[in-house]
Amino acid sequence: MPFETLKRDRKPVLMIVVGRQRVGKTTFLNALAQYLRGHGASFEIWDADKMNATNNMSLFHREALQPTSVDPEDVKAWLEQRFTDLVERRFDAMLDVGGGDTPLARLVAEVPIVPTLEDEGVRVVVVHVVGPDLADLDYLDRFEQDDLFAPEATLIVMNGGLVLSGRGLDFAFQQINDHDTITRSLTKGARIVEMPRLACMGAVTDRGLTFEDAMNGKVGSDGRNLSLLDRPRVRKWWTKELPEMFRRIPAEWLPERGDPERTDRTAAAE
Amino acid sequence: MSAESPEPTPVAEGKGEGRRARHHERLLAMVARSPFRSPLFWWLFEHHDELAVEAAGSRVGLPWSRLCSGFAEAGLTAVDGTAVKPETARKTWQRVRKEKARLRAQEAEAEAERALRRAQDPRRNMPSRMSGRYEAPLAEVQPRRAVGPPPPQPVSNLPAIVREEGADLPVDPSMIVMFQGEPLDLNIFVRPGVQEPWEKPGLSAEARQHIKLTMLTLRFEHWKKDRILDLNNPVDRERKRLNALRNA
Repeated sequence: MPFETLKRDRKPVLMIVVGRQRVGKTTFLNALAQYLRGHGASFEIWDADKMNATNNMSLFHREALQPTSVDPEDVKAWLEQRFTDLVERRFDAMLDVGGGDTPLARLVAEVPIVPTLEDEGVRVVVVHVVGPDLADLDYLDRFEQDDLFAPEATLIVMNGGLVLSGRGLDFAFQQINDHDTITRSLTKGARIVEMPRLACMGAVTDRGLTFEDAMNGKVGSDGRNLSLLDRPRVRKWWTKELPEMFRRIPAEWLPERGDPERTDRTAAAE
Repeated sequence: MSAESPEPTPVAEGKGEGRRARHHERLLAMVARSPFRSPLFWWLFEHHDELAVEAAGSRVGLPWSRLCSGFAEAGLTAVDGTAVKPETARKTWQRVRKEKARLRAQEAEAEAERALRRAQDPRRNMPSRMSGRYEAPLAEVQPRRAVGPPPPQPVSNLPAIVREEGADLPVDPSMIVMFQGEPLDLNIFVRPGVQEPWEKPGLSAEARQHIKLTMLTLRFEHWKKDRILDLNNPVDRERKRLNALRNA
């Protein structure tokens, strides 16, 4: 896809999603990327989650860039290249680094990435995806300490999909919300949004379907479409609940939207 | 016949005539309002809602020629006492619609201002501020005084800052949201007797406000989803009680 250089008066956005394994980082980023693409946004997707073969950004977004090697040092070098490219060409990007001991975490320990990129006029947005377990705050706590990786634009996404069915959301997230780590992040200007639960999320992603295609009954990679009731479930989540969540994220923290028709035409031409 | 001096209607002969006379009397009583408005204006004003529905359902507008015959029969006149012409009726109808819209806007503005004043009152949840009958709550802990920054000075023509559900939340310092057509004070989600995150020591006033708004908004969002399984939850009960007190 040809990229248009951003307007000079707007900072390019680098959105980086971090968190423990299996908290929904890729799910959040995948949904956001689909939503923004549908609204005409142009941005690069960097998929550094080489350990996750069954549910990664490259499966849903073929144009996503990936490092060629899984070696942590190679991935670190690849990330440095991407950051340099973004500073020079000034476009928006989303980065999925996966969970666990990531090359990004190593890079962060070596170099003050956020101040360096911000000095170059890049808006770094760090998204922490958490579930209701206290251990889900470990990354946030670690990155917030000594401002290791804590830009002003810090978004905390509470994944309602990780709450056991039948359990109250308020009760489930109470211990997280009352935790000092959250209070400290909010004091520095962080925002919190809650990702609504989609009961049939697995049925959509396992088929490699976009949410739009899933709700419209398109057939997935297994040759089947969603069940009768799962389609309206996805429709409600995709057209109502998810946009409500995205509206609560400051617009300047997201890749810039454009004219959806223009993007459709561009995609068709390609 | 003009609005300022409605003349007594002659007693009609027969059953049908009597009904028509009573109908005329009712109509004329209704239109006997401001002498600066025609009887036709006040009749259209009284029947605005029905006529608006009628007009919405018709692609060609209201049948003014036919209506004018009815106006003449009912004794409705223009402001100078002459018979109503279709063009006059159409223009009068436009004036009525404008007046209705003005009154609606006035009422909405007044309601928004009332909601704002209620929200800014630091003692708003105290019994002395509640009208009507007040019964002690069943909880052992009394509701605490509302906390927050001092309210701003009253400003005339203050625009409504009542937040629509689903709008961008964190930038608005107001604690009022709309829920099912009623203003809902987010302070209803404050947990009595518990140290709230925004009450932790060492926080600036700005941080307290941001944390409080964030947390109460989250609780509001959680409650909207959780309440589907329990419509008799404590927040709904308290909401109904407060709404009843406010409407009393």
